[in-house]
Amino acid sequence: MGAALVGVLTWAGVAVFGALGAAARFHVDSAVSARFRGDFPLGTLVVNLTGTFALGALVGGGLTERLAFILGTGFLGGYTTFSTWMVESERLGEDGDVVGLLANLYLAVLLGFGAAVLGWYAGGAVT
Amino acid sequence: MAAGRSGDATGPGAAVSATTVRAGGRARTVGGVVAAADGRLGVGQVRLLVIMAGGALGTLARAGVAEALPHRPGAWPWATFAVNLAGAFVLGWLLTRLAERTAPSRHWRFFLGTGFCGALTTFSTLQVETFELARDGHAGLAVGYPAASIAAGMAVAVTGVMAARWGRHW
Repeated sequence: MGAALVGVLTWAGVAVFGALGAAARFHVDSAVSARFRGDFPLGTLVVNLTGTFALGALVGGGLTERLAFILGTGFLGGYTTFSTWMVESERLGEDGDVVGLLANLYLAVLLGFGAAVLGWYAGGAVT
Repeated sequence: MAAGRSGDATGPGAAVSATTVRAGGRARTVGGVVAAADGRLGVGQVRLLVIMAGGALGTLARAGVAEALPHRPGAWPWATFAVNLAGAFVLGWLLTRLAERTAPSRHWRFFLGTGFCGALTTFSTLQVETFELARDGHAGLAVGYPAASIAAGMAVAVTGVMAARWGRHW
């Protein structure tokens, strides 16, 4: 295949896998939210932690640059989200739920770091 | 998102009633999405397609920024930082604008919010970049990058919310 065709297919792959990642986020968030009726946005947290573990595993596993671009930037980029995390935190703050706000921000970032570390070593162990 | 909270409805709560209305009470489930019995696309299916279209565009935009501003090891990850702040501002504005003022269409939340902003921004890359900074011994960046992302992300999200409430003609 020519380099131009490979480039086009790679970007098409990023778009398709990004779409699938966004759909997966919607499904997982919906499924978790349906089972958890509290105000805490657990669905987004589950999405972000599972996606972070997976990205850590992809990078730690030493995927080729092109596959990392399609699966990491594409699928997992579409799957995990920063904006929803921030706006849901803003809502918790507006509702006066300070504990929820702080937990949603700082518990998430600490657990996320742990998920990245675990994923990295899991990916390295498999390959 | 938790169902029933003000200004968010990416969860399942809103989808059920809308789908039932659309399908005239005769609904079947296809792949977890309720479809209309007459063969036309149900609200749940259209919603998923809208999310995927926005998600594809958001992912492409983010990938473009990441390619344009490559992240050098040990340096501040500007590409991720920039897309995350941009998406947090737009989503704060959008969800408030749609929830508290007249919504032009029920699809905008899912196309621009769940789809585009959700895919444009990333939590996983932020965390893996932080891990790599820590692993390579850049302790200051490994603490400062996520801390600044949270502080600035909250600041722009709040600004977006306030902009939606202040704005009267846009």
